[in-house]
Amino acid sequence: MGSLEQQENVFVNLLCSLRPSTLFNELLCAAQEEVKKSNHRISELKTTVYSGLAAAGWDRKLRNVIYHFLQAQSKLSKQSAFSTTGTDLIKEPISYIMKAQLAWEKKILKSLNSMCTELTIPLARARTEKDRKDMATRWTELGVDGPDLSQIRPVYAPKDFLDVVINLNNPNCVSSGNAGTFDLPWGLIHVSLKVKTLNELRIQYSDMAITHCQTGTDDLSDIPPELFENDRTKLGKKVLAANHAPITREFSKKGCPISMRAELWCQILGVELTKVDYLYYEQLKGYVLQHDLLVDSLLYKDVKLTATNDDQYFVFEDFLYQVLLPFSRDTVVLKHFAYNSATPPKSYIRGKLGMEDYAVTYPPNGVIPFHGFAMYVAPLCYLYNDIVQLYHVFRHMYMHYFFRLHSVSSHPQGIVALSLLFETLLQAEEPELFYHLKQVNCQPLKIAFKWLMRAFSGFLSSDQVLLLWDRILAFDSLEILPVLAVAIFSFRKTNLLKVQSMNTAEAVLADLFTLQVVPLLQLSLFSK
Amino acid sequence: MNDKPISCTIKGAVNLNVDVRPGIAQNFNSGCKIIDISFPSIINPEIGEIHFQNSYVAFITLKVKIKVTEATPKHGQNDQGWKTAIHSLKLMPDPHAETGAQDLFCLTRKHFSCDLSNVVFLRLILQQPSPMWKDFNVQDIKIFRTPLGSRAVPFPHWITEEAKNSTGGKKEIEVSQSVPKSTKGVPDLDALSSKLQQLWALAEEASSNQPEESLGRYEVDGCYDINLLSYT
Repeated sequence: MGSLEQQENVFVNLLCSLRPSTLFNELLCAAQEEVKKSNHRISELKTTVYSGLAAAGWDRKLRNVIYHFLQAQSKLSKQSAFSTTGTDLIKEPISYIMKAQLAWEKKILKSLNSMCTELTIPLARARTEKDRKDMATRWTELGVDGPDLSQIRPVYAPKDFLDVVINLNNPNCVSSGNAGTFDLPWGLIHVSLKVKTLNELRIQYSDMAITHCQTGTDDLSDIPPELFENDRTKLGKKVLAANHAPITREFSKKGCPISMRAELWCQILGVELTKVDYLYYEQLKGYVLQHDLLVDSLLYKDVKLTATNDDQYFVFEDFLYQVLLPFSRDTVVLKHFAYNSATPPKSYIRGKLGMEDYAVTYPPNGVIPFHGFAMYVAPLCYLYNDIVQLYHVFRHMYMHYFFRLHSVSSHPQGIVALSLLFETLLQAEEPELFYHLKQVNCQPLKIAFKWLMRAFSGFLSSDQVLLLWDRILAFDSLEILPVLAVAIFSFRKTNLLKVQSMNTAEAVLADLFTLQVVPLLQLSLFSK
Repeated sequence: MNDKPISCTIKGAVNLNVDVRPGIAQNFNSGCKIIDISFPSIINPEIGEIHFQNSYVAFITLKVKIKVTEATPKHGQNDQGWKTAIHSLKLMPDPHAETGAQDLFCLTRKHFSCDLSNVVFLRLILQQPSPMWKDFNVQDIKIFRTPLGSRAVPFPHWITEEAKNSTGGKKEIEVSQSVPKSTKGVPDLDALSSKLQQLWALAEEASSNQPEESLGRYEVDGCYDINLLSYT
């Protein structure tokens, strides 16, 4: 743990962030009410107000806020006690990885710009009054009559991003396999990052051990509910009533019961909607009506290409627009760039090129969608009826987890480390399989990368995706994704060992919709 | 507070070799380097803090040579004043992995095992046991007299404001009473100034209580017409 000084700093930061929050004012008001109520002596005033506030449930609210604050802080500070923190170093401490990310961003910008020039459309323009009214009236059915998308193509797909990740090479690293210094790695990732071993993962995910009953497998309809389901539901109700994020996390480690998942996730992420949040969403909606962005067309195209084509998600098409379009206008998302290696693209208002006063980020949230981006939202549509709640849960999920899946970074949760974890685990657990696939020139990561990058959304059946995301939230880690990818390879091992080409290997792993996530994870984590 | 680094001469890192015969030593990587730092323009400075950027060094050891006077206790006959201030401090948690490899580090008095005053000479010993890396070194070494790190963040004023308010208020009253002046045709200056002060205090309070929620505006003067992205 950190030194006393650091703890003091954290404490001061916490106080400073609490002071302007609405909770502070609410607490103040509640304390005043409490003072009016009590007929106690002045000398006991302090203690009675404290106990009164605690009895009214305010301490739990405060605890939750502090918990989420500390979670956010851990993203912004370095692990090591004596390394100093510079803003650039929090984004990405390793220079060649940062360079690769910058080069990648530039490539994206160029491709967006060339799309603009080819199609002679601007990146952003104000909508006409008529357009605005028209769009406002059909806000809940935006999918019916979208813009012309024939010319629009996704800016990049997982395959393009995989090339970037594969080509990462440390200039200071002894070229692999040279002079027998160490074994030639079988995989495609050549970045030396520390990834967990199977044993470390076993300890981390010990709550998922085969000896523990899991929601999603041990509560299926053919198992008598007395064995597990009844107790689980009872406990779940208690957890929901307690409304304390760490407890909810602990409970969710064994999976969330379907009926409680929506609320449990909100508690873990700290999503508690107020009227202001509804207002804020309305404001974002207003922004969507105000300006027409090229990014809108990209999002439209993406939804049409992915979710609309998917028999599990096509019903949610309109929901997806109502989340994704306001998301692109949300400047709160910009905050996550403090700990993301990516930098939001910059531009200037037309005719004001190079004038710093007229510099803006584009899109307003700084995130350029890729092919499959909509799939981060799609499974959530099964959970939330209320569009504003859906929106906020998605935004939290994105700013906590999903951004790591499409930016080049040395972070242990970043896509590079996850890919490396996948390769090392597969090599350790299934050496025969890995070697065979390598011999027939079909690198496993080439197949698994898209699963990782989309957090399996759209590749598994939706209920299984939700069971998987339960674990991401509960263990606060994306490492479960490569573990599942390895499990799938092991599970289809017999067929994969007969494969002689990339195409057949892809065919073997094309349909994953019948897979049950939890038993597979248990199999690969605990059965050997 | 002394913000300027102490001027010093930093020699390039020297590779340590086991065998000095020509031909044998050339390709041998001992995984150990030393950097010597001397202070030609300052006489025996005191050192409070050392900053540097790591470049693939796994462990660092810091040795200092202290000026030996008659007062300093000697350990043995050949004691020339060398002391080990830091012994094998871990900079990279795993020498084979990138973590910590390019971080900025700051060594302060907390890390030094002895007092660094009357320093004649500093020697950094860099170690990298992993054969993965072509080269290792530390860059941008800066030495400071007083620790910069001791800037403890003060408690926000509103935590201690109760105490301050009570004393501050009294002073103002005293001042206004001590200057009895009246000018014709002008409203009472004292009353005016005290009211202004109150206004100012109100404005201060309002500005300090401002919520940090941004309005979420992204356009400039209501305009967000953009043609192309900028590469810089």
